[in-house]
Amino acid sequence: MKKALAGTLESSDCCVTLTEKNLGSGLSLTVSGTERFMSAITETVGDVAGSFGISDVDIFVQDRGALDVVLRSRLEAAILRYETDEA
Amino acid sequence: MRRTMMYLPGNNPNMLLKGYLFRPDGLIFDLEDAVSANQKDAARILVRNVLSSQSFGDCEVSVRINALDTEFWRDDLCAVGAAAAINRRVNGIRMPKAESKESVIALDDTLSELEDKNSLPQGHFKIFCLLESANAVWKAYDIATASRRVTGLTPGGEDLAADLRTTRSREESELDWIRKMILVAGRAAGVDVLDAAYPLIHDLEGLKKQTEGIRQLGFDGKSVLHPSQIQVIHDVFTPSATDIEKSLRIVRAAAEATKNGQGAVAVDGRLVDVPVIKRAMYLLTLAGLDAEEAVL
Repeated sequence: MKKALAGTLESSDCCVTLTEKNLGSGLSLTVSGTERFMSAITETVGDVAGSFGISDVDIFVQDRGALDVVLRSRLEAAILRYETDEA
Repeated sequence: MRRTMMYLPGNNPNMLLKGYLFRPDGLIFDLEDAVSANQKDAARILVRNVLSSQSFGDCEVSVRINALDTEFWRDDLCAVGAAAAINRRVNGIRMPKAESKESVIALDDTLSELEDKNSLPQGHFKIFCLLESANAVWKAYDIATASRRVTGLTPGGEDLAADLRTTRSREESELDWIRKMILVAGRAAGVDVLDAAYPLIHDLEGLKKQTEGIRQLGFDGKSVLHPSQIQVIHDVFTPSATDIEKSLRIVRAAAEATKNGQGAVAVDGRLVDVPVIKRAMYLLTLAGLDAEEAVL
């Protein structure tokens, strides 16, 4: 099973974990840390995942107060690592 | 002014986003020593996106890329180029382990390509060279004059001490000659000379003493590792009220002499010539004043 991670649990950061799912099962998102920003996080995750054409993954975001620019960066790093993961 | 250039760890969002609030003269987004090898990719993306999306007050913005003998530096530059295409404030490249004029020329060529690719004017990027070996210090003038982009020279810290087969002492007496050599080379080449950071971040008295020493030598500023170091360095580089008042009188007297067609003028009984006027204008700049406005 492919898996990739980017980011940290430090203040103002977030940790994004991507885990492979069965073909055709689409994206799923789980967020921990700051549920009140769930809608904004969901929108950003959808936006970045769409721009990289990634699907069939479970995305787990552990948020420590990351701004949108940080979340986007961690998502991009995790996706690029996921795409190069051979497992 | 480049009194203080603060390093910000490239994979630390908190510092990258908030560092400018401490009001150093410059920021150095660090993709080199502050980032472990397995986090270079994530840091590069983070730095690119933060640089592209934020403003940083009045700070000069530069990026320390990885050395040219690594696999990382070209990707680092691509990230910086993409950011600079959006945020033109991003225009400084800190070049670690600048070893020769050839290495500076190689970086210069790559920066020219990067500027074309990102629709930036030629010469947009400046280079700040870090001299981290005895060989580099010996060739400091050649390195400083290898490209018109070179804007500053900085001695290395730990790497340089190791190459000299010594260790970095509290007083750093082992780097006395190094600082003097780089100062002369930098002045001869017409570039800024910026000191390495003081590594003992809790020893502000030691920092003050070292900063007073390098200012007296002629250095233009110093790298910073921690926000608490900024004010100490600014205080040392900020001229006294007496010095500012004297500089104002010199600049005004010189302007009056020019207006009246006089060749020379005396202030406080001393003849004021061009070097004295230049020094007075530089001092007013350090005080945050505009010499031309001060004349009015």
